Amino acid sequence: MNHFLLMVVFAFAVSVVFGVTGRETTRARIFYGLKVFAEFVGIGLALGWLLYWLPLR
Amino acid sequence: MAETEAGAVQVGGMAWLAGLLAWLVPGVGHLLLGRVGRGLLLAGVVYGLYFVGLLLGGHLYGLHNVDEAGLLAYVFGFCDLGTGLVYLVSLWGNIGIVEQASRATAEYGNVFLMVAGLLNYLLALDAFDIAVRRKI
Repeated sequence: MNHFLLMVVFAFAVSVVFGVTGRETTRARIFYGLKVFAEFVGIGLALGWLLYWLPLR
Repeated sequence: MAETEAGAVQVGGMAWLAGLLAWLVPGVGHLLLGRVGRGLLLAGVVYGLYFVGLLLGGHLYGLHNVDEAGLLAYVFGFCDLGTGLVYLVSLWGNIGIVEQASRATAEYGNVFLMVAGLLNYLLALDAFDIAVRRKI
């Protein structure tokens, strides 16, 4: 598995648990879960892009 | 559960049982409380993270590797302990004990294992809250 896929799997698992435990109705759970998932993946990609420009070698 | 005049919640044995079972076997606390779909979904997520973590080369922390990891072994071990019985069985069966630092995904595996435990602590608290009717 590549690193991006692992991040997506991780984001999915955490989003499901946060969605189920963080909201009371099914609709709110789905929307909250999707929001957390999008934030995980979006921020992960943004950080990855920022790190790409750092001279780490 | 019963609510007193002051609004404080009296916690019954069922709530403690649900919380304890939810920690020991992920999902079972919710199943006990009649949340079958939720229990199966959450069990799938926690066990999925745990077994993917092992497949990635992650290893379990605990009292057995205090020498190599120092005090962090207690912190990481507490995280891993969150998965309950499967963690204890893994230690007993020497599964996920050997560190596989040479594998590129070993650190991912460690994180998956620890987060599985932390999420299950959250689910145990969720089951407890459902049992005392703080949540639906």
